[in-house]
Amino acid sequence: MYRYLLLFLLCFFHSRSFAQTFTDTKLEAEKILHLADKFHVHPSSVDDSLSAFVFDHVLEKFHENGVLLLDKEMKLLSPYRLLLDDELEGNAPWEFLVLADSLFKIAMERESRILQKLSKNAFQFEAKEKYTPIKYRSVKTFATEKDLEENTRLWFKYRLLNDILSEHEEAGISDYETFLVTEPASRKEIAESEIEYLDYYVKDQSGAILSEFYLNHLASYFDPHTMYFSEKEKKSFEQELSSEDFRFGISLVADESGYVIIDQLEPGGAAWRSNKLNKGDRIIKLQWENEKAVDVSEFNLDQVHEFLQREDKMELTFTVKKPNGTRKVVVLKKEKVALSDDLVKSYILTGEKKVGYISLPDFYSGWEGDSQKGCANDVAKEILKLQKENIEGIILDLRNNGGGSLNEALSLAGIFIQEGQLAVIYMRNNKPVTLKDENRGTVYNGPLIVMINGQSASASEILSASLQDHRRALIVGQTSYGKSTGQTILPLDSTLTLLRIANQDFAPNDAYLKLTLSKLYRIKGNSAQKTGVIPDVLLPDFYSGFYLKEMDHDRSLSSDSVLKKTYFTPLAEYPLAKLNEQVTERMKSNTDYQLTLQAHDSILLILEETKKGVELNYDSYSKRFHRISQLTEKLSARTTQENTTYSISNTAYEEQILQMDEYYRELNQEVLKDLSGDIQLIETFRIMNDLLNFTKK
Amino acid sequence: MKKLLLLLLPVLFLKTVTGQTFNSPAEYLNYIGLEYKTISEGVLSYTSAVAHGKSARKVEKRRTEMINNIKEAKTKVSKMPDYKGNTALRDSAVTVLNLNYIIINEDYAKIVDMEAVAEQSYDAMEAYLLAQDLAGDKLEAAGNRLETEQDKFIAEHNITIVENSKNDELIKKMNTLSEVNVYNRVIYLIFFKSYKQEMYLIDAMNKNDMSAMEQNRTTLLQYATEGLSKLDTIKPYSNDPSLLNACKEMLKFYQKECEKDMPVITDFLLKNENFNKIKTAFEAKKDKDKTQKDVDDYNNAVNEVNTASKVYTETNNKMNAERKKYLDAYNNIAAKFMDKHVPHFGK
Repeated sequence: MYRYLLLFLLCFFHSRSFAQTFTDTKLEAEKILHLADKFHVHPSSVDDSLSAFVFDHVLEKFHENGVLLLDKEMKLLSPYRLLLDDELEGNAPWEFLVLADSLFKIAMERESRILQKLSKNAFQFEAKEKYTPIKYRSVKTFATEKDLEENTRLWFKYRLLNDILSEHEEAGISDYETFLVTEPASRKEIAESEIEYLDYYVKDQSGAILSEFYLNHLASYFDPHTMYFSEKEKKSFEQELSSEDFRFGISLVADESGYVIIDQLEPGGAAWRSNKLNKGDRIIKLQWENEKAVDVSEFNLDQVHEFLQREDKMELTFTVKKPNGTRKVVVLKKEKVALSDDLVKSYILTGEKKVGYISLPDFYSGWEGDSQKGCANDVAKEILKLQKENIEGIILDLRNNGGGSLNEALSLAGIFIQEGQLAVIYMRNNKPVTLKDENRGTVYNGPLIVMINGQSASASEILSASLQDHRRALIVGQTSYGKSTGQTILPLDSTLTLLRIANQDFAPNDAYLKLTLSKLYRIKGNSAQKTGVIPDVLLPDFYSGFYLKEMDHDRSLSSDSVLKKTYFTPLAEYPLAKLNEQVTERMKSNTDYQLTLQAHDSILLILEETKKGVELNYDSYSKRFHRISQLTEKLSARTTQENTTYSISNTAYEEQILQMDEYYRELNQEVLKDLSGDIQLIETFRIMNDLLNFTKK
Repeated sequence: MKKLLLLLLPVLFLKTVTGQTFNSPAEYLNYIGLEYKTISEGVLSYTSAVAHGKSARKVEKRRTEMINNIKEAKTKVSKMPDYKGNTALRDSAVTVLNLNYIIINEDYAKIVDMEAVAEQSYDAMEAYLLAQDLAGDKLEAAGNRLETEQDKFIAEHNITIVENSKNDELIKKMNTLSEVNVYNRVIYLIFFKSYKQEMYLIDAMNKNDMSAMEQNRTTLLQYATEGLSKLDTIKPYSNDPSLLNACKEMLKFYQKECEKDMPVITDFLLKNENFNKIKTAFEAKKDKDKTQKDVDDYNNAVNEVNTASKVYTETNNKMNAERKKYLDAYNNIAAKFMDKHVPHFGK
């Protein structure tokens, strides 16, 4: 039987004389292993564990993208699970990718046929049946083609229910009759978009998609932040780190029902010039080039933002729904948009005290380290403006700040710290080196609170840890992400030396490796790797269980410490016990917090139930659907009441510009509204009041 | 930065003792003393050349001589035999000579943990000064040990100290030189701390880096203020207040620069940046969409930034002129001060 199948496969190769041999992929893979072995701060050995990791991840990735395999097909692949390392080291023939490519193509062609067939007949929505969504990071295989088809049928029905209900909810429709009327068109649409994606892969003769997945997962075996890039992808990654960013030029917002809609188009940006998108359009579907279209209609704002945070892709197909109910499909390419001088804005919160607020979403730097264009300098300027407003304290918001330039983080710490050591960096075979404040003195030496959450990572953690160790800032929020490693982008060139890396002495290459070269430590020698920065004052996390942290990745580097004599004198201790006591007291009667936490728990419960299967009859599904919508709305952590704790305003400098610029004025109104209803910020403001009152005593 | 001479020479050696035979303890002591005399003369000759404006060639020649003197003395003394089992005197003298040699060559890594120094310092200059201080501490400790050994030796062997007028002259000059050097160094370091800090400020201004400007401004203000209160505790050097006053004037300028002038500079930079944004927004509007209020607001902004620009330029020029004036004055007075107080020695 298997022999027959192999024979069939061989014929299959023959019928496609262009069959890929993936020899280039092997050369690239060897270079990845070589560079990792030479420069990775903590390299792993090439063994069965690597083989299993790459095998499992490649299969999972394709499984997610609609590759459903039969047991017998899996049986052909599974012998390779522990052989990939041998293949790479030349101890076994280079076969896996060739075989996987042909099997995946067979599976995708089969899936296309099944979808085609299923799209022809209406589903039964009164029937009592359940669909169990495929578990994250698992591969389900099927005994017979019939089983496989049944699984696809249930998935299709699930997707259909979801798509139509999302559309209808927006349009304010909730009756079954309309549902049935809409069903045929939606069914056809879903099948078409799925088949389109599957065909794309089947027709791809270069094997680029599989090759890229394979190399990506090989790289990420060394740690979750080591990545493989092609030349094109490297460019967009670098731009991500710089203020002269490539982007689509849209800003998104959640509407009253929690749907993600376009909030603003940036004048001159890609979306603006497409002339097809408008404020108020709802984002339904997104599709990165060479990838499957993803139904994002049920996503919340954070999820959509996360989906859009792709440093390796430039082109995205947007499917939006206009307020009048029509749909539009637009392909946008990220473009370079000339930015205004500074990206950092500051605001004044006036309540019991007058407090400055600065939000920093990213540690951007200017090109080639031009310090005056980096975020530290922009923050300094905002502080100077705030000081003219006689603020008594500053809140620096690093929530969801995923990091960026380490130098900028250090410069930013320097704004608040007199002088001295801030962190320790270690590279393999080198002595640990302390990182210091580059300028003596401060821009601001008054009371300071830094807000962090579970998505504050990397440079955010270096900054907050440093300020915490110096006792220069009170850290408020949730335990941070836990990434204490540094990466450098290297060309995939096996002749690289450390000296050439240090001097950035390398020519452009077809491919690159973002490699973890360093580990970072706090000044006391301990690390925030995996553990994260633990806030001085902990506030409840409304999203716990919905996102991954460093410690959730099975290949993240372990947390260790470094021996290095350091010299620094922390400032006086904060009255932490008293501050925390007052927060706990306030929490007892804070209904905003209670409602949001209840919604959080309820959603977790629904997600848990989903594992056991989702009812696919219309009544049950629509009940579940609307329940999730309601809960998601509550999860936005907005206050339901008028904010009586503070009023919010712009600096005098900003007011002048606002007078002149209508587009900005609108944008600003939204920001003010947003900050006014943010319950975590409201509580942080109260903590600042407490802190100021304690200091006075 | 001018090299500061940090040599410690126990002057007692320069006093001769009444001779007995060649192998007597006095002879032994004198042998070491003679080496120290040569070194002291070398030091005086070199510093005199520096302080009294001799040619660079001459200064360099005397510096080489001075270093060679120490090197030779080191070799000679270390080759001395013990004196009836006593090696402590010789060894502690060698230690002092050795430290002197290292310090004059600025080879601090040999005696100071330079890594620890670097970790505790902000920049290379601070590390250099800290290393110098730590080396000075070591030399002082070694010098104290030598004096103890010397006193013990003299007491043990009943050596009588006699005066020698020629050497007394040398001792007097060495004492004066040491006093002037210490005084000058104290003042110089107070001046230098702020001077160097202002360099960082100017560098930040050249780079238009507002964050660095503000950080370095607050630090310069702190240093200048601390420096002034230190200067208030220092008396004029033998009734000559010139150096002290010149330093005070310099620091007062820094204070004024930080408190009065720099805020004008940063204020203009912020206003100018803001104006550019207003201008962009104004120009982006089509003429038909511009209201009278837009035009008025824009004109006001233009006037405001023009006024700020004028004040900015004036302040900048004034700052540069004043800085030059006070720096020149300080340098001139410091040179005159040394010329006046460092003893003349040599040809």
